[in-house]
Amino acid sequence: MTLDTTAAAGAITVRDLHVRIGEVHAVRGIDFTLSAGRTLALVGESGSGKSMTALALMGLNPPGARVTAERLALDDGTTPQNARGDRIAMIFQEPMTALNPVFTIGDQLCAVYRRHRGGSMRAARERAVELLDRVGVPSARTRLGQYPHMMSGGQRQRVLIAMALMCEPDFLIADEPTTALDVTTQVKLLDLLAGLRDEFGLGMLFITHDLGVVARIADDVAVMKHGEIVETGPCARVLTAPEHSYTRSLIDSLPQPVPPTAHDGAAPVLSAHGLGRVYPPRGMFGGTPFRALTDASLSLSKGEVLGIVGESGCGKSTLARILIGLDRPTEGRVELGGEDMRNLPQKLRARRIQPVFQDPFGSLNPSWTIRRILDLPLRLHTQLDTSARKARVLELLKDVGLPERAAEATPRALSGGQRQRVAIARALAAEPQILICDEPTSALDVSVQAQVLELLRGLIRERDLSMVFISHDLAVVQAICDRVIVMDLGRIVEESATDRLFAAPRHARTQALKDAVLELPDTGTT
Amino acid sequence: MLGFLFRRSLLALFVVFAISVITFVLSHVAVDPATGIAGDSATDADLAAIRVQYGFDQPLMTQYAGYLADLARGDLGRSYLSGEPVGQIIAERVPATALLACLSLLFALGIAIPLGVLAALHANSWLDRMALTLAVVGQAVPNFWAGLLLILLFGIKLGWLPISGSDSLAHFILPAITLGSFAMPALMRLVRAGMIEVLEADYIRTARAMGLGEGQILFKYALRNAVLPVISLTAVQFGFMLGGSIVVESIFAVQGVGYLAWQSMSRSDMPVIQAIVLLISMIYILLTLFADLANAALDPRIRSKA
Repeated sequence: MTLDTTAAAGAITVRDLHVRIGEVHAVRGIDFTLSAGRTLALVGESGSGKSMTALALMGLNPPGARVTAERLALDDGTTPQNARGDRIAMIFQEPMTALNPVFTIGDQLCAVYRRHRGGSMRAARERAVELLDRVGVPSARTRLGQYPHMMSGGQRQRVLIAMALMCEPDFLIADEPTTALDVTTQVKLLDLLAGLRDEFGLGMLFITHDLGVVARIADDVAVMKHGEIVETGPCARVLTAPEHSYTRSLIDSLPQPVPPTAHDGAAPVLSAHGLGRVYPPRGMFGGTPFRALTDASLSLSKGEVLGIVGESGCGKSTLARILIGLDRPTEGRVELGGEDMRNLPQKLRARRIQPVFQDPFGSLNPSWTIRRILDLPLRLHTQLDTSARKARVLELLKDVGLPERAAEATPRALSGGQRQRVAIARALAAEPQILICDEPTSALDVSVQAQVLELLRGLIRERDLSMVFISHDLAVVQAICDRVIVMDLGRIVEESATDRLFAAPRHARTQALKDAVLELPDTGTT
Repeated sequence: MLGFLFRRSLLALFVVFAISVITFVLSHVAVDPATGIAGDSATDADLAAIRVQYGFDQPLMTQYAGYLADLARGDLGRSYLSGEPVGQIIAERVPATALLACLSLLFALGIAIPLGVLAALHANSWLDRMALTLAVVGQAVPNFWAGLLLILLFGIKLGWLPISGSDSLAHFILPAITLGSFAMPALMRLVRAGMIEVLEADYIRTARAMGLGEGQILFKYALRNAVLPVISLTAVQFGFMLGGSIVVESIFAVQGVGYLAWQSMSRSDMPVIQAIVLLISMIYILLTLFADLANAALDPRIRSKA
């Protein structure tokens, strides 16, 4: 399928691009044209081949990859790898690791300029200051002498954008550049990129899995599945009137708000009173203590889902670790069923309260079978004999929608969504009253996310579970939570029923989070 | 930073104290120092006289207190054999050992870094396998055997290099290769592992995406990150070399601290042995401190944890 955007002079033309890695045919004969001044969004779920396409375009193929194309060149015939950093630049998903940690920002920016443009260090530094200013890095001149770790994720991504623009490229390839960032930072960066595209006439290839991001920045969309482009067209048309069933299913998978249930008056199963956490200084040269949490109080009723939202570093994961019992507060206390958690034996606490973590790839022992992973909590928390435990493992798999044969597999053999189902089954094995879920769907594709949310909703209904649901994604929170707590700088700044909170936010932080929600055109869906 | 140095100095003092206790007790309990001084033909009366003369008849605590008091004044005692001050004897031998250790380290790093980088760049190729084989052989062959083989080949058969003594720089070449080839494999493998990891890092991909040259990426961007753990290991290996020099200096008759240690041990010259052990442990402590400071100088993340 071919997508020709405008017939502007500057363009990269890709015809019949194939990428093979060993036996895997990752990209299967795709065509597109990237034109000056326009943004083409390449959308798809993990494994669809969108990042492979971007890397092939840059000539940055992973080892063992074979790339063939009928045409893969700029309009003057230059191959992209010969124009790297000069006429084509790229920014990546992980701003925290994409800058060299042992060189200053100035060194890294200037190296790019001097490599392609030559000239003095002084000229390179002036150019770096000019661009850092333009991309919104405050005190640009001072920043040149700083190292990446001294900056936030958003600032680092701005530095990377400045680095990409050092030599005034004609094309910018952006591979999920806002995925690792907070939602409010994401919106600012998308607007910045759109502004830079218009100002410099950049042709931009924007790779993302997030349709909200597409709606915000793209002129045209190409939807990828299994290495092929299944649908292309202008952004507004594809998002509002998709022609392909896969595009339709992606849009339908977006989380929809559900009306919250009130749990007023019920005795809390879990409550926190004035929690605080101060971490002692770390590092070999000493340092100052860090306060991660201040005076946090909350309560959770039976059958209730309590959302905790906030940006990275706001203290939500610290709060979760304390609620699970993995960390001790330096102030305040947690009560489980009215009893102080410090007085509860660890085993009893673990039986009542179980965690589900964000990363299903890191939270399961890779060398154990799923049966062994699920058997461990059964052995710890139940009196079942071997055959009863065997049967229970199969029941648990069925409860989370996995086939029986999954019991003999290792985590490696399962997809991200399947692994997260195993993590949920493991949490359920102890038959807890409370689940603490820390960003349980943020590492998953949108269609898998929808399935996991549906699973959690069903489990809460059937088992009368209570749940603390931590997320940075307000759309997900609206789809599952009854009540929401908003955190900022280690404090709880607002608390309300989910629908009320989004209808009439009182705190500026809540308003900022709400404003950062990216909506699709017309459909009104988030 | 100053607090860090102060804490490390206190720790060093404690370690030196602990080592002085261990060496003192071991050397006085394991053997009778009087027998060592008097020799095998001494009579009981000779031994009794020596014990009184050197104070070995005093309780061990009293002897140690005296030793510690002397140590605090910088007095390491006198050799039982020559009667010369131990400080002076060791000072005469330090230059040869320092030269040997530095040359060995230069040899080890000179081979380990380029070979490690090459092995990482061509991971799993014949070159990598050859480097790995070299590493395994280097670590498996004992110093004394490697030394003897080098003497046979370069000293006796080819006659290119002197095989005994420490009169000229040429005398240090074979001992330095022997000592360095023992330290080199671990360093080489760490450089290789570090480079493989760093070359897969996101910031190297960024550098490639920005069109930087491959040489700049390898030797400026990647190597600087990959050598960070190598610095700590180098300090440890340098310490091992000081210990290993006892064997190597003996083989090549290099008039250094190691050879002195071997001579003193074979004659139970306890004050000299104790002083050498203390000296080597203090150098070890200083080396790890230097390694920490060098890491902080190269890695801004360590510096800013202040």
